[in-house]
Amino acid sequence: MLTPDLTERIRTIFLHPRSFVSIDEAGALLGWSAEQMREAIEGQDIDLTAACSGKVVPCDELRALTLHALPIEWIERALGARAARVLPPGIRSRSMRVRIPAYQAAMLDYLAEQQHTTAGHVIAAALEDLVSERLEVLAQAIPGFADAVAWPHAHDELPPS
Amino acid sequence: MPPTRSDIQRIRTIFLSKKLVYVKTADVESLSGASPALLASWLVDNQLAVEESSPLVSIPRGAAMAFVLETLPLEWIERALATQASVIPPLRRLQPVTLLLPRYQVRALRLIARRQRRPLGEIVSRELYSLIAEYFQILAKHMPDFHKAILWPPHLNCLELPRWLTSTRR
Repeated sequence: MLTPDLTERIRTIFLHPRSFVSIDEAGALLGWSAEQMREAIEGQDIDLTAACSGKVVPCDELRALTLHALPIEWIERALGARAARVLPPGIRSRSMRVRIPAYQAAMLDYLAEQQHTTAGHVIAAALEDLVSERLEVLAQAIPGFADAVAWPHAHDELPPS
Repeated sequence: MPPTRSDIQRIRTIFLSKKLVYVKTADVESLSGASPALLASWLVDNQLAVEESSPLVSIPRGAAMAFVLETLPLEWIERALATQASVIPPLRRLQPVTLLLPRYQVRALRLIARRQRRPLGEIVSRELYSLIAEYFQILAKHMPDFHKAILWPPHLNCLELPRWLTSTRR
């Protein structure tokens, strides 16, 4: 659920003028406990970089983690009118109507409720494997695809096929 | 390829003909586009007896339904059955859902569906198999008839997760 606190954290993450934040600040912005942050660092689930003050979290990494963790429509809603300027068109939300078996629709609702997210976000996470498996083919066929997948990091040029 | 008129007739025969006990494997192969070897290995995987000594001529109707459900988009099967699609249990029937996804994912799904000449929902549905396999025990416990829906049609001896959920992506 998009609470006022979460809205504020999303706005700070995406509209932050700095290029990095401290590990403690990153944890607070992501809503992680110190334990979760420690596990993420140990598991290399978060990329750190060195600054004068020691290890820090790049804001691009913070944005990438937020995009992974939250439904895109929540992020757009939190950013309001500024979403169009901050988020590239390729990752903006788009409505899609499909027909799937009723047990799968019920499963999505159940998992979304359990994970405090949306059905679309549950599917988006499941689709990440499909996208990465076919990245090269999709990137060749869809202009801007690789950039959208890599955002906010810059994507390296795909090797020629 | 969307089903032809004769495919539609075969689907209707397999799903609607209650007198039919066995279905010719040639019909199942032709309808699904599967090779005899693929059908034979599917039967072995699902612990259905196969006569090794002679060519397989027919298989039980429930097995034929299960194989067709695994290989053809449900949208085509429902369309072929038309008003009689209610032979499929409610939880296995198609339901429209509206999703909000990042635009690049929508474009990827549309492209894959177009290239594979399959309905968009079919592509999404197959990507959900790994989630179903991962949460099967929890879902079966908390959602009435979930287990029954997954195991329909009851052609197998198994009470475990069906193979189509656990096999690798095709």
